[in-house]
Amino acid sequence: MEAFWTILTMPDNIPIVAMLGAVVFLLGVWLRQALRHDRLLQQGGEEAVAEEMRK
Amino acid sequence: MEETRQKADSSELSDGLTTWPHLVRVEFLVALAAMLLLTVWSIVLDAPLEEAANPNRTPDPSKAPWYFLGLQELLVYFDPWIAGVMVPLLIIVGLMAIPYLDRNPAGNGYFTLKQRPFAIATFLFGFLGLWVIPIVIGVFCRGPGWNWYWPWESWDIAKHADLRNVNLTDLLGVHDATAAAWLGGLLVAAWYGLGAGFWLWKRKSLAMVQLGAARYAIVAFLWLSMAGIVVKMALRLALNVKYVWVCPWFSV
Repeated sequence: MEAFWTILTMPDNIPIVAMLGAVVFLLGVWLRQALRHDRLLQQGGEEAVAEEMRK
Repeated sequence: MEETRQKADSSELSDGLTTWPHLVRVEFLVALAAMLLLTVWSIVLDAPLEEAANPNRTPDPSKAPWYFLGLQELLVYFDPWIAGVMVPLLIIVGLMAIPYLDRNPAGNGYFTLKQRPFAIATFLFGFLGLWVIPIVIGVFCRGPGWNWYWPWESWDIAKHADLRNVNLTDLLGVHDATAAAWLGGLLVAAWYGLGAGFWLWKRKSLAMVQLGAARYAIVAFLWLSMAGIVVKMALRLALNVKYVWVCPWFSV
């Protein structure tokens, strides 16, 4: 794991490590929101979704 | 300005929001935050400069900056005219074509998964499969000699990967150059022919009728090209396939 750890902590690679974290986090946020909006839309909550997105 | 905004919010644009100030305000705040972050970063961290270049001691592996490593990784699987010219060109043209190809307004302004499964799957396949994963492979899995190293493996400059790359046609038992060129061409044509076959199968479905033949042809070409890159990567990594199609003028 030494080479991997060296790559991971290289200053040059800080952005990609941050990007990987951001990709996972943002995909999680999107998926949670998408499932919630789909559920709301299925229950006829178009107004609630539109109001939430206007905020 | 406030009056304009209220008018826009309450009347003809009540289904949406105006770009100003709703979007521009947030963008401005994000730009300020990004500038602050970069300023602090540049003050706190030293630039990772190395010693002066020495032709007697060249770095191995020689890696591009991380954001180019996806393209550098593609050079393992394709000739430079494909990996360095055609693929970036197709990415740019494909992204530019999206507004003309995607006429479905569902999902505009809110989050959804159920309403746009194909669009979302295409985005995730392109972004994660063809952009993020090749970068991750290039950054974390390539060591000396551009050999594949798992993260738990130590880099060994004496390691010689026992790779004997072969063409797909050789694997299929066709060794004559002319026959191999024809077979390779047929295989590539058959791959893109899958798009035509899918059209014949589903051409009467509502989605296909709405899309139309011309737009479908472009979508199918772009999609099969994306998937073809992954297939070629898998063939190389699993079977050491160098080329699928070798002809006197180019090789794929």
